[in-house]
Amino acid sequence: MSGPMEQFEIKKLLPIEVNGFDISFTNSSLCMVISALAIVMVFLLCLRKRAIIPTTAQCIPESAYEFIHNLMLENMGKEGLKYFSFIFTLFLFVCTGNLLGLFPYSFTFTSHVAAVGTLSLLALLLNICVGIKRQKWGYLYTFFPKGTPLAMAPLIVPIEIISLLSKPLSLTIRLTANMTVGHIILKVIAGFIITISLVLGWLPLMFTGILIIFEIFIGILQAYVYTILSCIYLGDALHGH
Amino acid sequence: MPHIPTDIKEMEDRIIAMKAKKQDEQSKRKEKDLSQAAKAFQIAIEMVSGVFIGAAIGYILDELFDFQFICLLIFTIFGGFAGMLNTMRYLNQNKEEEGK
Repeated sequence: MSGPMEQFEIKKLLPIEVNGFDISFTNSSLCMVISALAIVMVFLLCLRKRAIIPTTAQCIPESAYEFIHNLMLENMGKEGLKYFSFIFTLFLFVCTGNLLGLFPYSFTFTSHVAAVGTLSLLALLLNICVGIKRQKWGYLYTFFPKGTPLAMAPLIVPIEIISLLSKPLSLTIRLTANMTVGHIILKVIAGFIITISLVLGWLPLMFTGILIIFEIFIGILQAYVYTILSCIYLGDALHGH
Repeated sequence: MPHIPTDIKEMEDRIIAMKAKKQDEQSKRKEKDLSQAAKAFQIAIEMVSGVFIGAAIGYILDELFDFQFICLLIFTIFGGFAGMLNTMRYLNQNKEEEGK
């Protein structure tokens, strides 16, 4: 029987190498593509027949839209809605990735620092670009808050720079740790179904069922937390610290 | 159907209401415990990520300018402070949200 960590192994499906760089198409890449396609398909299918009084199918994308719209209004105000497409895509991609990983023989790409880290770095990059665009030179006050004595600059500036750079890392670790731990527990408990015995096997089977429901809840919740934290970081850049 | 005196019926209603209230309080306490655990987890992450980023910057600077381990040492300490700063900001933000 395979170990609980084997599910996180990245396997090359299509080896590609460009100038010594390994850019192979892996099982992680495949799941990302499936996830993106699933989102597009669901939206296309549900919004096929658009009506003023929405059908049940139309309600699914509309409620997701409204949910993120309200979340952004609460955390960033009206001017933050300019970045709606980015935040909405982020939420859908992370949420679908979390839920897709629960399918048998699937792969949870959100349990990998490389995948989530890239998304977090994108959020950081957007934060910096928006900050510079909105506040111009005033953005530099992020690293040296107004009213701080000049003599403190050699201490405050590096601390503030590290503080800003550590935000995407904390975002990444939070999501990946939750996803990894959840899937390991699920696999360990599921392993007991076979190892205990046929007589007592129903007990871990029942527990696995409960855990899967719990994992669905955790997956959606973590996507929500990831999105809300990204909104807060972007809001910081919009309104200044 | 047997006739139930009004005072007994009233008492039954009050017992049901009390049980519902107790259950509601218990579920609220559970929710609060869960959110406290999530906050503790977030604080731990904030602290560690600051140190990690500081150490990484220090290591890169050491490698670039051949400073041996001086930058690693200094920036790890800075990272620790940055982690504490992030934690304090996170806690202040929570405090403000709870106050609303």
